[in-house]
Amino acid sequence: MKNIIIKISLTICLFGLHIHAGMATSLTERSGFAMKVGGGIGATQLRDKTNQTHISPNPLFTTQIAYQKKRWELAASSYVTLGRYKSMHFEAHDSIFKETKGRYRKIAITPTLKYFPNIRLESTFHPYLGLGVVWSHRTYNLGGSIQELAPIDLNNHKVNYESRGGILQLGLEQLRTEERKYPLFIEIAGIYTESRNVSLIDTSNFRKTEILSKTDAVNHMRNIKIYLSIGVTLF
Amino acid sequence: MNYINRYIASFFLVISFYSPFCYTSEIPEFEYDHTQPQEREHVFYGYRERKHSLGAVTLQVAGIYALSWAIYPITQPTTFFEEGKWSAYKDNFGRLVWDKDEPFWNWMMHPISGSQLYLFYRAHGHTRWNSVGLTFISQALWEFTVETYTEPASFEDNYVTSVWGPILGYGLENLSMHLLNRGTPVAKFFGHLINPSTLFWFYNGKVHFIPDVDHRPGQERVSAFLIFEY
Repeated sequence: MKNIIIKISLTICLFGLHIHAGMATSLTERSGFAMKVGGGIGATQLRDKTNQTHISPNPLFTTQIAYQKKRWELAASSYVTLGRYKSMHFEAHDSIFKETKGRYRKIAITPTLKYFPNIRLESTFHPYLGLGVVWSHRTYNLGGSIQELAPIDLNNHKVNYESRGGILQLGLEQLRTEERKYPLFIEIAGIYTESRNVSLIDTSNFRKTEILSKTDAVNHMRNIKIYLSIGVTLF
Repeated sequence: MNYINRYIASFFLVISFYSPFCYTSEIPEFEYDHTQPQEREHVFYGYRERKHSLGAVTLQVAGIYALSWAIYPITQPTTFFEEGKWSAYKDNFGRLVWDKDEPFWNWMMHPISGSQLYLFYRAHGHTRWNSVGLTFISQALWEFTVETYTEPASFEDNYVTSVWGPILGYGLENLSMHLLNRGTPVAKFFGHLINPSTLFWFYNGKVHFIPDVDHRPGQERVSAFLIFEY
């Protein structure tokens, strides 16, 4: 007796947007590497050891190197954010920095696994869901802060937290075709990180920064970041 | 002075990220009208991808590795001679840390280095993805076996050089090809400046050595032509 295969497909028109599910797509044929670059905006909530919080908007720059195989994608991504903060409490190098304010920068590197279900939007966009782990480090300038215990020139010193956490991504991506040289992706994601250790850095020598001390700072800083990014696959 | 460096690096970073969407480095196809005499052969800059033997690839990677050891003490003499020692090499070998260097080094100089590695392999005729892979190998050799003479390998440097570098290189590749194909001396100067690998013998099709032997009785001669098309 021959096997009988039944395939069901569905198209829904919702507010003028056509959503196709269950139809054959070229997702099942794709295989290879992709280099992506994008930019966007986000909001970051910083929470310090004293539970003081600060929320700031950030620009964001992202890159992804990915291997795509059918419905799966394994990517190594980086997210760079720059921002301003105020009223934070840091403890590093046997010193306490209270009511600090200034600029910060962060780089997060995240291996992520994405899955593309058999759904299409407007025949070109494919939604995906991604999960991954995050390693990041965030450097805070110390301008305008109050210090205790150790006499330090704040203009030449910075506090750096190394953190770990997770990332959840939800996005839409176009498939690469002969006609579409730079396929687009749009992504909304949330990143949660908790600090593991803190360093005080002497940056008076521009060519060579000096790490004055590195101590454990488990959960001293907790960050939640939500962002929207738009980008393209370059090659 | 440091600010000038930052502005120059920022300028090229912005331009090169913008350029991929405007230009292409693919060699255009032209149909010549053979019934009409050609005043001058068009020279188009681009990349002709070709296969390489394992020995040839090994030689290219080894060349970059030898160059790394040569330029490290020249470009960073204080770090190399004051902090470098073989006992530190043993401690640093195999370690991977987050370095705390300034963004100028981590987010500007490392991507620029990575872009030039990528363009070096592209100039040899490797595909884009092979060039990305070879860039990763070369920078990993630098991080794990050369720079460990003074400091442990950096997690961030590894990613930034291997990924941001080729992205920047892709932009510089397209921008330089656009400038070189403009044909004007100023455009060519800047085209070679941002993509210096196009000046070397390994860049395909731009350096020719053509031996010529004439066997005709009474006209026997041996000559050779060395042609630089820049």
